[in-house]
Amino acid sequence: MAVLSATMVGMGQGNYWLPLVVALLAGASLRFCDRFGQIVLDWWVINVAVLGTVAIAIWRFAQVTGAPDAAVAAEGLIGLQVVMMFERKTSRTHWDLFSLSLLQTFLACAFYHGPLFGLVLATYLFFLLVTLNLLGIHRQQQRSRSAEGSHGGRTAYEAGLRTDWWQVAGVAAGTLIVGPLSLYLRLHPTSERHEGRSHKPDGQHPARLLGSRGRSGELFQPVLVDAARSSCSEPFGAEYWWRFGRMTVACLLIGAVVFLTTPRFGGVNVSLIRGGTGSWQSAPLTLQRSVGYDDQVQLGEVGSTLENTQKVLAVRLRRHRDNADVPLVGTLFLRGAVLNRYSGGSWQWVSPVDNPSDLMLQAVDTEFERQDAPMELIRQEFRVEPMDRPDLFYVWPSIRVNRDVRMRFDSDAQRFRRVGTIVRRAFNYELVTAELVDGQQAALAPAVAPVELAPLMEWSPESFPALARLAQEWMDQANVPPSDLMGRARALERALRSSPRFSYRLGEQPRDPALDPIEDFIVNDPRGHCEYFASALALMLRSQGLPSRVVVGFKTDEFNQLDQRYWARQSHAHAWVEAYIPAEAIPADVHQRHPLFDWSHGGWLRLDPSPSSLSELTLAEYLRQRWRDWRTSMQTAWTQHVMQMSGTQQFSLIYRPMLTTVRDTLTRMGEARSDGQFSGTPRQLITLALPWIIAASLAIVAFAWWTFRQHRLGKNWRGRDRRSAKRWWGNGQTSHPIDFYRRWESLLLKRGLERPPAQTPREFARHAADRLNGMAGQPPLHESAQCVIDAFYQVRFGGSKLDDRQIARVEEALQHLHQSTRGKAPSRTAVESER
Amino acid sequence: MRPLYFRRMLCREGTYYTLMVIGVFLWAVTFGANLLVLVAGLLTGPLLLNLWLSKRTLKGIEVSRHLVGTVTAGQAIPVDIQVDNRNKRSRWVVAVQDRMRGEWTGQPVKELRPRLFFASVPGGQHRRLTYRIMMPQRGRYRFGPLRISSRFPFGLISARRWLHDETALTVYPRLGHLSSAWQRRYFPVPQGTTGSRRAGRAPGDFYAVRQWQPGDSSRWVHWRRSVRQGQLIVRQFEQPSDKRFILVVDLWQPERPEWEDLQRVELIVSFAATVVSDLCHRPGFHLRLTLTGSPPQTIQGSTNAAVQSAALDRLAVASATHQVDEGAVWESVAEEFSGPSEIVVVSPRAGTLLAKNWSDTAPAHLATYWQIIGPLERRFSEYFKAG
Repeated sequence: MAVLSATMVGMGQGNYWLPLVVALLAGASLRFCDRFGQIVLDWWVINVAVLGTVAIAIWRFAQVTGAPDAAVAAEGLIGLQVVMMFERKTSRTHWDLFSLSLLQTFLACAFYHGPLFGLVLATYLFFLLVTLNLLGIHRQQQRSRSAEGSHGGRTAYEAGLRTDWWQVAGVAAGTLIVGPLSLYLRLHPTSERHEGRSHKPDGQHPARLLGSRGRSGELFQPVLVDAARSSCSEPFGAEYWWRFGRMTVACLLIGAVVFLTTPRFGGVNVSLIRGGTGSWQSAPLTLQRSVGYDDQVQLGEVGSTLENTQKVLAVRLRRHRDNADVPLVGTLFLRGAVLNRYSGGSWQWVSPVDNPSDLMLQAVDTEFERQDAPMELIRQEFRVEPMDRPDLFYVWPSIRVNRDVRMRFDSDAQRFRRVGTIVRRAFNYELVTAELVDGQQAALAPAVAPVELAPLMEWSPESFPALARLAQEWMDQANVPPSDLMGRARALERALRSSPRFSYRLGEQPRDPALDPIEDFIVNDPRGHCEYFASALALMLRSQGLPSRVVVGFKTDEFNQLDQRYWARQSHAHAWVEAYIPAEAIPADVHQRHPLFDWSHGGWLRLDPSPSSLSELTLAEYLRQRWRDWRTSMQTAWTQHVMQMSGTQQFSLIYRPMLTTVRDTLTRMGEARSDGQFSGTPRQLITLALPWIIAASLAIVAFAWWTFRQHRLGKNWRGRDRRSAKRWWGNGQTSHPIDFYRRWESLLLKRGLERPPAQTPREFARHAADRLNGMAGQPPLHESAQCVIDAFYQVRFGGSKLDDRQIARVEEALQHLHQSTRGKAPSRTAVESER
Repeated sequence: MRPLYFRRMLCREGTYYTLMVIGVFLWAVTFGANLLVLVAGLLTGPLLLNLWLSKRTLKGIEVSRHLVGTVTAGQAIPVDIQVDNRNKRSRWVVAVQDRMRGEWTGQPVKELRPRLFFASVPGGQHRRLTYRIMMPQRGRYRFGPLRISSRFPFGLISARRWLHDETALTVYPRLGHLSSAWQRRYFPVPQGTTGSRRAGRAPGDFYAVRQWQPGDSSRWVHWRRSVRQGQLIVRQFEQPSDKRFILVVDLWQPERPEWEDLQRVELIVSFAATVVSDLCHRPGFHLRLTLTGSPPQTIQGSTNAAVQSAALDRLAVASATHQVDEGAVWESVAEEFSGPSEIVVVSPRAGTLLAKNWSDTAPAHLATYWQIIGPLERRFSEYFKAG
């Protein structure tokens, strides 16, 4: 437990060495302290350690500023725990070590953890259960080890634990000085009496009893000499461990239920969460840095993020009408920002003079009922991780649904954004698009508003002579008719992408300062990342008279099979080009396709000139991809459903589905009656009522079984009582040959008369009759007694049965005795005879 | 074995544990710390499991106590506690607590509550443990009820069940040693073993059955009863006797007895028990044991194991009083007196003026047959050594 709790603390701090050191020290304590007793610390050493821990913690708190104080406290507890490991082990030591380990676990929860923490916690739980069990067994053994069984009913062990008021006072005083850690102070040495060791009594009692003087009464007391103890080697078999494994699973389930149902008031409080610094941290809670979404983007900004594999967002694609998942082939382009003006190595967005903002807003804010939605509409369910900016990502063009007021379309910037109050934390949103056609994202998207071409044509021929020459050269080689604008654009795209001269490379290359970076890219160093390729293509298109702009966003093909989502990481940040195609140049069949927007304003053709690195996956890569999918899903599930669980999420995860299911069921039942399809046939009735019938039947069966069981238990007891009574008192009939004699004896017993072993039944009967006859008001019983005894001897020793007449006489005699025994009984003595 | 009642309760560790979990839970909910909520939820599991499993552990468990039948004071008696597990699966951490208290003892005795701990009882098997109790004092004791408890698996919650199983134990007086002087004085000639009857022949009437004891003839075995009961049962016959021995035990002590007075009473009881035991091993005697009291109690019969058992049983619970009616005792003795008999009065007053009551009230015709001895006399220690 100590090692695991130190591991959890170390995970929070990104400290590899902490659990290793603790493991080594724990092993050393097992060997040198517990087994061979070579290093055993005294109680005062523990006290010094407690005081030292407090002093060091106070000093460190005072020294550091802004650092996680949970780490300081946890390290102090670990130090104290290590010292206690070298103490001679008593019950108290074990419990102290246990509690310190638990405290460390609580402090470890102050850090931000990944799913690995959950695994370690589950393992810790298993050992916690085993430790509790062993401590419980140890305590039970100690209690039974006490030989003296009486201190008013309490054992010596318990007597040793009586409240020591001096100890209480010491703890109270210590608490004022060192705080709660005073509970770990040892105020007096551990003594054997607290362990309930076996107390060997003085075995010389017999000689002293009669021969010597002593305190009156002391030597007459019975003494528990010894009590055997069951060996503990038996429990630790396979059944034991298997059982604890199942208990661990049960505790995990209970923990999950408690966790999910515990009410959360408000959002997740991130103030308790500290970011770690080590590489153990799967996802330190730092805000994702977004690039390319400022008003001006410098070449190279996007490239700086391309080696970062942190997750940015996930999107699930479903058909809006029926919620069916939509499989996609190929990559997904998610727009973030558009940039239309290039100058000296940077792109920026310049708002058009005539800003058709109203039209854009109207276009993107159209709402309609889901059941009326065309089949082509695809809903995008996004979850974006906490970022430093409010920008959202989507397939262009998209529209809002459900009047989500948490996000808005900034028509000036041409971007979807979330409202400022919910920046810096994870955010879920939905948009609808029609651009995913036949399992692919369409390359051509309609322009939802009139396009101002001037900013899209700006370029400086004198700055890009080589670029212009190259574009012209490629265009001539492509031999595409000038009227085929889409063909011409694609030709340039293909040429740039497939040109062996240009290669994709991450990281910045040194550029000639005398040239524009893009010109240098074309002329001197044709190596660069997506920004260079996109910029080059955009300028080439403009040089050929095709309006174009650069789009920055994410391009991802990472599809997670487990959660059916596309994942976008920082490394998926991408830049591509959109070329404007006027309405008249768009093919006629495209016009028919779109249900949301029309093509009257033309369209935007997506072009991605960056060379692709797609290739066939080898087995290793496939396995790596599957492992990555699985790990991503685990991390996502952990982050979303554990670390960032909130009241809202609880409602959407648990309560809303329940309410929705109930509501839909009731609605369906109501609809079946009202829409005319329900005609009341027996089959329909049975189908409708079947779930209820099954549920009701199960409930009735369960209730019947429970009732039967209760009745059976009661009957068993009552039956047992009845049988006992019957056996004891009889029911007026002689069921056993000498039952009548037993009844005779029991009746006499009620009168305090019991036959001693040395007396024959006949003698006893005579004596009993004498006794009873001697009492006032009692009828003579000699004849009755004689009758019973004669019958007894006949049956018991004579071996013959009684006839009916004899039975009747015996019953009469017993009734006579029964009536005579109704009076007050004398004091019960087993007296054989008296004067 | 019929259970009395059942109870579950939080142990001390369980109380601390519960308080800790509640504290963590409140902290986590107040400050919205999800990991702490998770940990608190995980820590709730052991409490719930303990609540359920502790009771389940006791189901299907049967406990029985096995005691020896009789014991004399000063002996350590073993008490076997057997736990039977009727379930298919093992049961762990079962503690059995017995209870022993004095039902009738000369001096008040404290209650003993021995505890036995069974770490594991495999399914369908039983385990037996023994504890031993030293019984220094005669009397009647009662064992029970048994309490079985379990804190399985985590020691946080204890489930207890009380079983209605009470066993009575009679501790006979401590036996000492009779010296050869005693033998010479009262048994100068071996009695009833040669020439009077053949060994193995039971001359008396058959009147009862009892368990077989060493020395019983195989001819006396009641085979039918033995088969039925699964143990050897022999017939009891009345034994005609040739010599009578009357032992009167004067259970007297002052109104405010001192330690020495109590010791003397114990000594004479021990002496009486020793004499009875010795005599009952001698065939051909008729013993009459009279204990003073109101009214006086008498056990008499031909010396055999049954009479010995009855006499020791009576002596075990004999209590002294300051009021003794010597005359009543002599009357009862005189009634039964028929011919030469040895009459021994053992009294703690012997050797003091108080013993004069006996001589003053003794019938004249018994004067030559009786004598009084007691711990204050030298010859008592010549006759008897305490055990």
